[in-house]
Amino acid sequence: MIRISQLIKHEFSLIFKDKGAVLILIGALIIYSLLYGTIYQPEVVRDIPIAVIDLDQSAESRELVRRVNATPQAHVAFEVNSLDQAKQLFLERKVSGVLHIPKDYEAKILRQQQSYVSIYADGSYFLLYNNFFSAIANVALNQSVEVKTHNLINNGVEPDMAQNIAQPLKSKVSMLYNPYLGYAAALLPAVLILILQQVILIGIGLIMGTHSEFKQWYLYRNFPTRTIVFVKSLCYCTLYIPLAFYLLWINYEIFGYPFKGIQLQQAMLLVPYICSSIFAAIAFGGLLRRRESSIVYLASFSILLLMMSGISWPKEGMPLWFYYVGKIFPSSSAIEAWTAMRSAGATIYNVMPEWITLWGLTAFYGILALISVRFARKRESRPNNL
Amino acid sequence: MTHFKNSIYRELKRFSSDRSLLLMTVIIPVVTACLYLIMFSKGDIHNIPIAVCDNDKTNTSRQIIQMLDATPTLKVTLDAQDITQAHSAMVNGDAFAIVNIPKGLEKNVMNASGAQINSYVNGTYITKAGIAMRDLSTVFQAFNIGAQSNIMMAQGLSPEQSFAQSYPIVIDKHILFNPFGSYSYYLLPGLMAMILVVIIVMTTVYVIGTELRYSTAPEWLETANGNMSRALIAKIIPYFLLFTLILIFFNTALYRFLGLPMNSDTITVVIVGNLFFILSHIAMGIILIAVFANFRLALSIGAGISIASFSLSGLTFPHMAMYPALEKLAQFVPFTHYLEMFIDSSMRGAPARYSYEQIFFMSLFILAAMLTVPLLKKRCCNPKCFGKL
Repeated sequence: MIRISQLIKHEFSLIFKDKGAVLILIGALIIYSLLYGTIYQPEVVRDIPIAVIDLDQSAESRELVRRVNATPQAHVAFEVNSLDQAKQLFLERKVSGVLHIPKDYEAKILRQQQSYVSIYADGSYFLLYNNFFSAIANVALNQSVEVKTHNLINNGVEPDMAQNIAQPLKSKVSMLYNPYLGYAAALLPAVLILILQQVILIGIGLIMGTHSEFKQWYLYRNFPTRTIVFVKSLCYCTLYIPLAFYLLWINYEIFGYPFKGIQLQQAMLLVPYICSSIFAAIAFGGLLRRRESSIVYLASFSILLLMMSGISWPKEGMPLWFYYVGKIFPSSSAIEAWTAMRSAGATIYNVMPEWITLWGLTAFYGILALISVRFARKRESRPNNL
Repeated sequence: MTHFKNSIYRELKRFSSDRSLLLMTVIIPVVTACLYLIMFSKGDIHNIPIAVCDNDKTNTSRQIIQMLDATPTLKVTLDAQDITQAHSAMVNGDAFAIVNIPKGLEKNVMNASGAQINSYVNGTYITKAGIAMRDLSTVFQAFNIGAQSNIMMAQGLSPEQSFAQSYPIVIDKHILFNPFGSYSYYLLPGLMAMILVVIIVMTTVYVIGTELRYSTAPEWLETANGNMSRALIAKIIPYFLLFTLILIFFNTALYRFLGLPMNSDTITVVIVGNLFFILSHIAMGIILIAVFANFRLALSIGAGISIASFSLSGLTFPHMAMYPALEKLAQFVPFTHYLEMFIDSSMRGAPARYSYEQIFFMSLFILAAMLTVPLLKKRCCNPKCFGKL
């Protein structure tokens, strides 16, 4: 037992005496969580500048423009006379959408004919396009109902009745768990979970690459491989208890992300997630020959992994087999389960498939970690190991 | 000239003797790009699962359910007994939205006595939620137009008149630069470029950083006869050409095989812009290693900055919504300028002059890298900078 406690001390000194490892394992986790939190903190896009071409200049058209301007999403920044002028503003990035009201807009409404308005939305920035479009659609829908009600009343229908004929079915679509469809509230839970896996993979990879590069595996010569893997993962687990607490509790308090569900069960989800990430990192780290290799190989995968989890580009938009292949990474299951638990208040029973997957990955990467460390030690003991 | 040739020859030898360089400069970017292409190969989002809770069970309620199911983006996967069952399906992830049809819906629609349907969308997945919300509203609006038309026709109006009166204001929607309103058209080019952003910065730091780390910097400098600029240019050229090739491969995949629109009328600007994209990121790598003079530290910081470039660029969360300080910060990563140039020229087909500003900004990074050349030379001559961990 004394030897094991020495080994534990040795592992912690490896971590804390290595500025590079501390920067990644701890520094990157803190910096990233604060940076991303700040980037997305404003949550929603407000007052998207738009240009209006009101060729009608009637009471009805002015009312339409006034209401568009009153929506939280859109702000009428320019009123111009032609589509060419609007296009110019668009190319200069002064507006992100154009509302075009034709000359006969009011006349057609009065004649009880269909009246058209055209909108030109920016398809190169999806969030802007979606918000602008939904703002105009809402305003036009409300104005439609008023026009219809007015017409019906003129035809002698009772006012109360008229409103219900004009809109026989009212509908209300509510957002659950994220009422204003905020960007940070939706994305950050996933990003924070991913940060955890990436710093573990890169940081442990750096430490183990250093072992191999400087032939430090001989320091472990008195211990069997399983003890090494056990002690290493134990130390990293201990290190990540306070870090996970910072990342997923304190950080949530700082930025006010959606916080629901049973916290003990959420911690239960993190156990196999952190364990499988650490085993995967050890398995991967054993293959590395250089200190810096893990940064070089893994950095470029971060955004891919976030996309593979389905949080941004949904799984309904990708081939199903591809989505399941993505489950090989602990982050994919963890992001899905964590979002469901923390944002939507799911219990551990609701996310049982993901939880079991994570335990399966823990076992899988645990075995790979044993094989990989054995391989790394053998490689070092060979006389000419390059 | 022989010094220059020898320097290039030396770099090619280094490249061919280092397997991890081949892995990071060719294999990783190509594999990642293929994964993205597979991910977006379906092109659009179909069949988002929704739960319906039909408390009315009439022709009208069945018609609404049928209309929801017929919407390409939606699919009714659960006919829930009650709202509790629908809600637990949502928490389990089996249903993404719930449509609750109240009892007496048909009667209230027929008598025009105020029927209402409440729907709930899971807001934790932002893209899906936006689509589901939009298409649910569209279905209910379509239902209203149909229902009102029927009432009007029953009163003796012609079908055309009935339709016009039930649907008085029509929005004629034009999505500029993105003919199918496809999310992948706008996201995929950005993601593909991001692969290169990370890889270019890392490679540049790698090829210079290893000279310091393994104390070969004096030899590197000597091969170029002590001329730092010559040594640097000879080192960079092979990778510049390699990244140009990879970028051509990416663009071929995007424009030729996926059919992304190329709206620019001055293709020269697009080409120049892309070359400056590569050069400005190489410049970023040079600056990082010259300033920090530590291979591992420059790599860590380079990885951090280049990954954050994606969020800072404003592609997903636009600059106009960010805090002003972060919008300013975003100007200090070259990817922001490349993306603006790409959207202006390739997507919007804006005249060339709109791209000059962005190309100018990218060139500032290259200029800054040139200014660090003397510093880099100092690092290469100072044994204190060698072998740092």
